[in-house]
Amino acid sequence: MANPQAVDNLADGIDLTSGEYRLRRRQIAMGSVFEIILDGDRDEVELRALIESAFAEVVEPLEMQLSHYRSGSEISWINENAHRGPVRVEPRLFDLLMECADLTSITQGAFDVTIGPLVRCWGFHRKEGRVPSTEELAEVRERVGMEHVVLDAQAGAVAFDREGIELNLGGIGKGYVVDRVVEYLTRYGAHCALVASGGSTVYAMGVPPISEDGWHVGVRPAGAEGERIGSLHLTDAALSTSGDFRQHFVEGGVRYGHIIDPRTGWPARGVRAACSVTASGTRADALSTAFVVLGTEDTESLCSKYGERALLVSLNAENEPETRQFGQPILEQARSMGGIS
Amino acid sequence: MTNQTGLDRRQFLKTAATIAVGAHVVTQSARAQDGERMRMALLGCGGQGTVLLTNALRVPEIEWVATCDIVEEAAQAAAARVGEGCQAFTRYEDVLANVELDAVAIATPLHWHAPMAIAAFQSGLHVFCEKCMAYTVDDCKDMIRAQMSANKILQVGHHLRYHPLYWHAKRGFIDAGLLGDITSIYGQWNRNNSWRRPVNVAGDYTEWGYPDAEHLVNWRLYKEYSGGLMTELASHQIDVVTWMIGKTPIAVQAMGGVDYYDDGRTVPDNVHVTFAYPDGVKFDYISGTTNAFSIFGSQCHEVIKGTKGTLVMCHLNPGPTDSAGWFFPEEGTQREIWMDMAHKVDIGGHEAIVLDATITEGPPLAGQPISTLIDGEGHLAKMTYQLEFEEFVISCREMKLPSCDGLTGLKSAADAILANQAIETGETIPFPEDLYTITM
Repeated sequence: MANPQAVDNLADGIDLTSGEYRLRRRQIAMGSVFEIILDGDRDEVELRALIESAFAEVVEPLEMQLSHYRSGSEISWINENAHRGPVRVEPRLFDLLMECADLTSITQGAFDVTIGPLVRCWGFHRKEGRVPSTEELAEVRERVGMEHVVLDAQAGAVAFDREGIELNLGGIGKGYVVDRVVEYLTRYGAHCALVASGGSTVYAMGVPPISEDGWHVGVRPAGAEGERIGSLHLTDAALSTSGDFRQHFVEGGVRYGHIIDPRTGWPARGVRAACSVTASGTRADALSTAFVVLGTEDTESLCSKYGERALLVSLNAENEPETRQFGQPILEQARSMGGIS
Repeated sequence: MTNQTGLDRRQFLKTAATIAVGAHVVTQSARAQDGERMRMALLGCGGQGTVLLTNALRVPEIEWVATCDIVEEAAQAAAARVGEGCQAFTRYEDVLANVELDAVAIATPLHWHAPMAIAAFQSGLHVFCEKCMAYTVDDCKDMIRAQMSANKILQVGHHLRYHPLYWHAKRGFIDAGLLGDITSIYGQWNRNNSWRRPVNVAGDYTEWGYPDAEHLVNWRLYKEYSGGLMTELASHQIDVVTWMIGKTPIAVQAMGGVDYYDDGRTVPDNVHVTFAYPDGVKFDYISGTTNAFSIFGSQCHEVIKGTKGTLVMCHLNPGPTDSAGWFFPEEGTQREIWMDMAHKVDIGGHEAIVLDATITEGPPLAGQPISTLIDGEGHLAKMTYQLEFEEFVISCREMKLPSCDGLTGLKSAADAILANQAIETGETIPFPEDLYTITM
């Protein structure tokens, strides 16, 4: 039976525009619906084998490896043992952890895979949000921070400098799995596919037969009900959204969203949702979360420095969504609603 | 119905005694002594080999010194996963001839299990062999004979034998008599995919029996290499039933065919099997590839039904715990007092008692109390694949029979193979009395 704890409702912010394609398969994975659309001028038996094996040989094993919910996963193994000394990890996972460290660096700590204890402390892991006490928060923050994770590239091993540190790839794992599926499909000669994880990260490979402009993808304020705020065409690029429209709680008249700033220990304020379009699902997944935490000024600065593209959604005084874009604009067709720019 | 399982108890005791005696008389490899790491090679580095290696790397007593696969890239990737000091090979004969080893783990296509295991025993090594044990019943028996001659350990990879929840079901419910008289069993492993893999390798593999790379990659789909759904999936659950009820079948009826996937495969894409056991017990089993629905939320489960209650065991859950189990007391039967206090859930309108393996008593599993290997929600402290290698180390060092030894592997393999015969012939296949008997 699916355990509700496993359902990590990241932003459900991407609409896959309907269209004609040869094969589509959806499967529950990593606590959300993973989806692959595959097209191409190939034998149907081959296409079906390819799409099925992408799930069986990539998605399912990676879920087993990356899930911090699954006892016995490699991440759980690291979390249970790395404070005692270096734990050698699968090479690709080590590469991912190196990328996590890099992303922590370029986001000035706004993205951090050691955030798990804070998520629990605020009750978001059980969807029972609560404001922790100052003492509790201070204690938990001692166990959060990528600086406590030692990555030994020579040995391919990870160690923690103290007990209680844990890795939680919830903010990047889905994007990573999307990339690995894209890599797998490419290796088998696919050149036209859409790979999506939980409606929060999608990678568009090639150009679909019905459109020379790429795969048409719609964007909603992440997790919000209602209409799209716009759409774009994607080709050989990833789009990811993050937001707290759906996961939040209100206490004492104050609204607390589920995206926590690892640097302060408090939920991010201001920006309610963000999108990133970049070359990889891994990076897009992490950056969209980081943009929410960073807020407008720091997101603009990051986009300028690293050539990234961001879309931020906030609510104005009338509670209407306002958007701002940095870098090359993400939305091609923006709906005129409220203060959307 | 009389007990006609064909199990020759004297031969079984002889097998067990031979191995047990060996603990005292055999000089083991110096490297396998306590405190030193066992040097092992992985033969077969495909999907399952990679799963085994990933989990076995967490067993510090094992040093993986070689990997081998006829697809060189696969062997190299596995060696890289291990790290420095692990050599990659493409021929298993070269591994056995050139690498100082204590044991091998075999995770190749089924038809290669027996030749490789026998060669390893002849090289004086212990063998961990993935399930299904071997391609034919005679292959299984040849493996056991080679093992006995070498006086080494043979362990077969029915990993559910290393699952805390299954141990709890066995000890806490079945052995405790909570099911009453067990009269029928239902099992399924249903999926909704073709089981076909895209071809990702090139090369000439005719020497190994594959006319082209497609046959190598999709070996599970061809009778020349595999028993299909019966050997690759059902054998796990046949083993569970044998273990749980302590009986082996006396006959099998079955239907199946290539009825949906017209893609050149030669093994059935669906099997519907009924095993008959002594005392009138029946085990109905289905494995299909076109519908994955299950009321229990798991594509793979066993339902053991008795006069006092029903036990359901699941693994491959979509949830985080990988497994789950429930007990449904029969209406009108006297309930144990503890059942009123037990954690319960509603499944299909029925009150189900959630199995809690943290209270399991009895002998340890792989040297560890079962209660420490799982929590109350079913989260495993260690994967079953890791536990089976932990027990393999203990078995090799102490020359003790593992929970899933060769005779255990033979039984489920033979049952699966005879079910395939029933599918092919359309006839009821009675089980020969000597089906599980090993003669030297």
